[in-house]
Amino acid sequence: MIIDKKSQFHTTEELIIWLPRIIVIAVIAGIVFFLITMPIKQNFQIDKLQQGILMQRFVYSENCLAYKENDRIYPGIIDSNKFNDQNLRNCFQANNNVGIRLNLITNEVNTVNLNDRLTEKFDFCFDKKHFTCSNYNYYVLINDNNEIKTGLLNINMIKIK
Amino acid sequence: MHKKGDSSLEKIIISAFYLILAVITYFIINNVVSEKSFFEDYSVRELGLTIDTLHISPGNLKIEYKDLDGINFKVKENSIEVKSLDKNIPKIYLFTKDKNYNELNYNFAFTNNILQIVKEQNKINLISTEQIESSKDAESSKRG
Repeated sequence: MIIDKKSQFHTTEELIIWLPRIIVIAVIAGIVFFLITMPIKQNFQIDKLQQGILMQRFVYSENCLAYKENDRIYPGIIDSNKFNDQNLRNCFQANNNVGIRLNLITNEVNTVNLNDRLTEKFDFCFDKKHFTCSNYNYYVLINDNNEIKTGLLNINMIKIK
Repeated sequence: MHKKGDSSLEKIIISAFYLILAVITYFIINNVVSEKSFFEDYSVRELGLTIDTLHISPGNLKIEYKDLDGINFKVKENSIEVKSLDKNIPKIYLFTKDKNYNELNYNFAFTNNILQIVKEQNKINLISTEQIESSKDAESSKRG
């Protein structure tokens, strides 16, 4: 096989000339794309809104914690019998992106974690790029076997962005 | 040493390269600017948040969406997917299920114009235009 050294030299020379040109074209194309897309970038941030809606489920839904008597639901009154792991896991089947810690504070503090894999990560809430966290206190009445007590329902929520 | 033929070939290759670059840039920008992409993004969040909100509602509720032409969505076990008919990558919203609900009609595929979301007791139903019309027909035939 005969190799034409002269043509090999020309190919390498052409490549060296073209390489910076290609880089310059790629950079210009990138800048043009960036300048056009930057002002029309559409982004919906609904994490906090979603968390607000999900938190309210615990207080307002009869399936979660809301007290129900004679077909009437009492939003704001919590049925203490409903504050257990099994019931809360049923009414709030957290997907892999959401973790919740519920604290029902009366004379004692009862805690239920939903999705342990994420509730262990509350310490990382400072990382706003990857997590959205919310912490809200509901001042509630607690129906404890027909006896009404006052209490605080603290809901901590963490969501992967 | 360059021949005359070489330089004209070079020009053709450069022109072809520029043309390809222009076409790619056009499609990328068109995709970003497209209203459909915006509407998909908006619709999936709107519908997902609505489903999450319906789980809170203590009473019965009916919501009707109109003018959903060109939007195709599917409800899966714990997510809702929206995409335009001519696009492949769907936008997804993960909603949170309540096990007590006779959950949404899974794999409900919507390609019509009007959508109703109905919540009755522990049941959430998605109904498309055709179903609404067929139920109206059934009611009128019963009366007749």
